[in-house]
Amino acid sequence: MSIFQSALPFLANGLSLGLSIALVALAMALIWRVVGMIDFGLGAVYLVSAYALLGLHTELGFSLPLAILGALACGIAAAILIYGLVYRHFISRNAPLFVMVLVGLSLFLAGENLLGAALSSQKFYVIDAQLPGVDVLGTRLNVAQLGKMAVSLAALAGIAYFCLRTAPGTMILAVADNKRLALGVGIYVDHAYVWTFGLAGLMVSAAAIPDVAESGVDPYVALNPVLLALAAIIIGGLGSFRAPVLGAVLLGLAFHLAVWLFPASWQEVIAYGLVVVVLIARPQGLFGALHAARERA
Amino acid sequence: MTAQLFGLWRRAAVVGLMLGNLLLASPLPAAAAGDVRIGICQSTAQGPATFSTALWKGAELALADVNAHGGIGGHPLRPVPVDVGNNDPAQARLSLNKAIDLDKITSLVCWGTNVMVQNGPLIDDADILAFTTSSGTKVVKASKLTQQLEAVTSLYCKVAAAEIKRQYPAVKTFAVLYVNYEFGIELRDKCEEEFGKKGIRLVASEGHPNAPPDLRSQLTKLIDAKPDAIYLAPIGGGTVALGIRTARELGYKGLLTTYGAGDTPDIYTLKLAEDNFFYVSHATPPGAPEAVKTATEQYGGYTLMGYEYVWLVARLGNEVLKNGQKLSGNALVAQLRKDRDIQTPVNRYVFQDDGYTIRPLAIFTIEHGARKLQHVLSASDLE
Repeated sequence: MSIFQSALPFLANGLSLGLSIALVALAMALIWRVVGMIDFGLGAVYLVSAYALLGLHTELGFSLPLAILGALACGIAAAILIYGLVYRHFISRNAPLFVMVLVGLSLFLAGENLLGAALSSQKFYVIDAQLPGVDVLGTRLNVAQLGKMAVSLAALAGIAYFCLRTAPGTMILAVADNKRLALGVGIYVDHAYVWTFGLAGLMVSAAAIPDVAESGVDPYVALNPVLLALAAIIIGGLGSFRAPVLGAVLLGLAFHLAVWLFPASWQEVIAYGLVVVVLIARPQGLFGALHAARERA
Repeated sequence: MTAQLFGLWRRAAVVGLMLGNLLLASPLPAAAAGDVRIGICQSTAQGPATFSTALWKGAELALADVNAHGGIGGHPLRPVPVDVGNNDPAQARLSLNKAIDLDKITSLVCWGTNVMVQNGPLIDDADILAFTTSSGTKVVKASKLTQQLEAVTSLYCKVAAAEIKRQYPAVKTFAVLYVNYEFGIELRDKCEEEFGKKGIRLVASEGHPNAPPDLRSQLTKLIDAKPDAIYLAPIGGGTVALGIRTARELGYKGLLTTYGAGDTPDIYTLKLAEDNFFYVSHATPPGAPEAVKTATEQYGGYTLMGYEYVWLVARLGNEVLKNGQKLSGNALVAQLRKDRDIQTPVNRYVFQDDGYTIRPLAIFTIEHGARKLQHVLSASDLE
């Protein structure tokens, strides 16, 4: 087997991981661009969707397609509720960025530990069987992975279309570009934020559902996607919606190719080392500009 | 305005001081006089959570029995949870200090190589008897008052290797997927040694972080080395199930095996575990109390350990008091080492002076949503 052939399975899995991270990265990037905060609370949204899928399918006996729809709806609702009940209070008082980050992080960590204490830390599986899959580039990708990849690409196209061609989307873009001017022309910033968090909730749920179908649910499943999404944003940048997606793909490839080249114990060292290198060499990200923290009116 | 604000703050401070005094003066809930407190490590972190629940449930059953028969010297036993986080030695130290200083525990059952090694001196200074369910061989070296309740890594690997030689003679090579933590590295090394003695060669090994979300890259690399068997060596939690699922999804058809980390309900109910998989863990002998057998089926193999820990502490404590000594870690350990060969209601143990323990182990497979005992190796078989 040639060296290139031996790398192919890692390339395929890396691409799959990257596109999976891309959804959460896109959600974080959207909130960053519009609201001006890094939202770790998306981890709590991820958990809500994950447990909703588990509960609807295995406990209440809903069919898988219905349970998926239900989980998506729960994710959207959770994201909007978190904004309405928690973030809005701080945003309206012009809370600094570090406070917003702490609030989101606290929500996420509290949610994790609440689930562990109130339910169980045990991992539960939504699908108790081997997932069907196809052989791709010397490895086998299952339907959950293929689904994640397809949804990521659709989300990228969808978010661009939504923002450029629909009324709520242009409202979001207007607020992202210049909140004061948007206010001045009569745009309800609060409505734009609700749409933003709703969209982010949808994307995070779309990431959580196949993840959970593949790897099961426990209170700690959201930590990795959130951290990797943040790393993807740093690597890719925020200049366009493509940037965090490309950053996520690069990160996914780094994770898997690191194992191809080195012992797996170096995997995270190399992948997060890439983040540090990018931060030093190109702090605005490889594919775009990382804007400084926004000042709110 | 400033004067008004100052006045407001002053009033708040006075009220606060009054409330504080009231709280301090009011009687805090005190430990019942004469209780004998025993520590049981607990965790809500994914890896240890499942077996710590099993330990607690087993302990509760034994506590009910022991207290119904007078506890230790007429004093009831009370359990004290000691939170170790995600096998975090620093977290464990904080919790241990509280359990020792405030709750006055006389004994402890805990796990985690790093937790036990780094807190070994604390255990000795506090003069408490510690049983450990960690398989790391370094644990008992860090403390004079710590005794294994679990089989050490070398014993687990020896038993697995013997079973593979006996039952799966076509297996000539193996790979190890281990948690990249002292315990996992030791398990990898000991298995290489013990499997090697049976002519089974290690062809690949890869590490993973604790509670990994994904094992595809590691397993892709291991499977590429074409091992006849893969030994899964995580800390516990959902990693064994994830390893089995991922290996099978990547097309691996060979033998999968692990140690007691596979003895949890999520493995019992995993259909993929019913094919070409076995693990080495603790059997529930037919003569064990029914309640213990039922709880073990529900919570997993570590239920037995929780039961036996309490039973052992009660037995040793009663003997120490009968000899006219005070309950202390040193006295309890001396008694343990003197008794050495102990038959509990469940198992026979041989407690060695070096802190290691010969204990029964068993081979299990999974069938129809439950663990199936294949055969038992008694302490005599393993001595």
